[in-house]
Amino acid sequence: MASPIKEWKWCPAVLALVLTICIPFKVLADSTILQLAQNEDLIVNAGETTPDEYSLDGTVLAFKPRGDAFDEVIKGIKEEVDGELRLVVVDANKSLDVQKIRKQMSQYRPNVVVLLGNRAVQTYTDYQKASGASASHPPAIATAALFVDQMLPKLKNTSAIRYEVPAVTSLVNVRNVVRSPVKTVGVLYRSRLKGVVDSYATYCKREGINLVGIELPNASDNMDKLIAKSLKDLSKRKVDSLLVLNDNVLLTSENVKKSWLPGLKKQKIPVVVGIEALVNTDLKFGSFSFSPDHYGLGSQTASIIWELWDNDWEFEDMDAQEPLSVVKTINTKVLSKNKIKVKENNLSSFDKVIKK
Amino acid sequence: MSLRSLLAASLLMSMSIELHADSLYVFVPSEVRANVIEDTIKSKCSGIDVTAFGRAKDFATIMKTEPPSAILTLLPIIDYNGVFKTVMKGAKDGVTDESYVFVTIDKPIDLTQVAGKKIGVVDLLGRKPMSEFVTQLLQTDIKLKRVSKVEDLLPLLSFGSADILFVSESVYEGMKQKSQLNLVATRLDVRVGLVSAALKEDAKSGSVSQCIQKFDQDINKMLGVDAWQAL
Repeated sequence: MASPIKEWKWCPAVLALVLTICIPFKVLADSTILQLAQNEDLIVNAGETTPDEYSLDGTVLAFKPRGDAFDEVIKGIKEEVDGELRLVVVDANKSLDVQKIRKQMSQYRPNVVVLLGNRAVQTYTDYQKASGASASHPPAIATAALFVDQMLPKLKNTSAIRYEVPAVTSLVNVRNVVRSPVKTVGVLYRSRLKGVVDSYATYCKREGINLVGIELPNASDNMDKLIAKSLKDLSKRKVDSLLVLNDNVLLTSENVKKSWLPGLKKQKIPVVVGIEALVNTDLKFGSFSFSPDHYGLGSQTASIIWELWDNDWEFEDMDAQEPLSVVKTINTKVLSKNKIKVKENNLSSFDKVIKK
Repeated sequence: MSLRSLLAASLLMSMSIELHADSLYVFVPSEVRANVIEDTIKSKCSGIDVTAFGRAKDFATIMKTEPPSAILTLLPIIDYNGVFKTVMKGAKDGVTDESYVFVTIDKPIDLTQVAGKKIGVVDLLGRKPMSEFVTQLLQTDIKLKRVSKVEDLLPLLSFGSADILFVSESVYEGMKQKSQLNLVATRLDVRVGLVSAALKEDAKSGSVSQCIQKFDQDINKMLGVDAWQAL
């Protein structure tokens, strides 16, 4: 059988796929920008406000980058508040800055602000800072932004829905469909994500799943070797499954090629990823993917908005929430190749079943 | 063209119009994806245009814009829509409704302490009507946390976004099979109608009823029933 590296070279389409996945991660990590928006001026998408709209129960001002995923979040919000609250959607593109946020805030005087994506969250943080310590701000909800928890302490009167799918959500679904046990699950993580992984482990423990983590440095010239060694260590510990975090440093194309693919090839266990592209059959990487349901994020955001409405636009609880709804994909071809049997009846609970 | 062939063509055309006139919308909250429900029902209902929905909102929207000739959904949804007449009721263990329970982790809920708690449910009707429906069933003021998918109930409870879940006994059993959390049910004196078939007032029941009678054990299980009763 050809080595994974040779296979890799023979498959430029797969290489392109991984580069497509990993390059945005790099951009994302460096600048905490979720999406590269086009350089256009701010656009108010809500259209002209009619007098009737002023009689609605409140105004939601949403800052949204371009992209289908963000559109789905807005759809989820809109369908829940339509006809009762005024929803104004502002394009949070590359040119979004403090001045533009100030203008929108002054024009619409929102009862609640929704921030989608890391750029909107960061710029709104700058806006609050620029407004001075004594300024009061309406409640805000941040979502569809990576590691939003790390940004929350700098924001006033702001809650969030995390973007990362909690490990327990993914692993309970894996356990529900594979016939082999899922009791011990390995995960590699960089030090900066220790808190996240510890929190995952707590939830997993309640579900009878032992999350075995191997901590890697935040940066290293030998990250590929560290990953390869850690995968070997996890193999020796006979983990039942492997969870791969969406980490741009661990998942560079170089690391995928040199470490992940050869390491995973030796382990005949379910590999759980957070990006659907990584369960592509040709890639021979993941067998399950669990990614955020963007419409669900919108509905969950709307649920917080209605709680605020019910409580005179004040938060009862400002803690960040876990996302409730996920999109589930299973690759039965990859599982079958690894001789992992599935409960056929439970496949119907997956959004996508890849069989070829 | 002879008179006989003209009549035959005319008969075929009228049959075709009737077949295309029958549309069935299905909305049954379940762990099973809507496309799987749709394909499975289609396999038994040739000649009926079957569309299944996974979210209450999608179902409610299309019911307004393009109402079908028949719907297959939970009884409270049929009652809420008003204009559809129930023609067949799904039954389980001989009854056409099922009991609902409160689900909590580790300890049962004290029923005198429910007011003010956040109660998680699968959305059937939309924000206001669902709140009214549950308030009426529970006879107390509640704070509702709605999710659109059955599978989202477990995270809703385990992450503490809801204090209690209000679900059918069968959903509770399904959750226990899936989760190793110590889920505890508190029995309630509340029963809600199972999946039923209803027709628009001017629609004929023939083809839809025939289709439902062809449902096998697998489809019925998917819909949460084991038999059908014609009304």
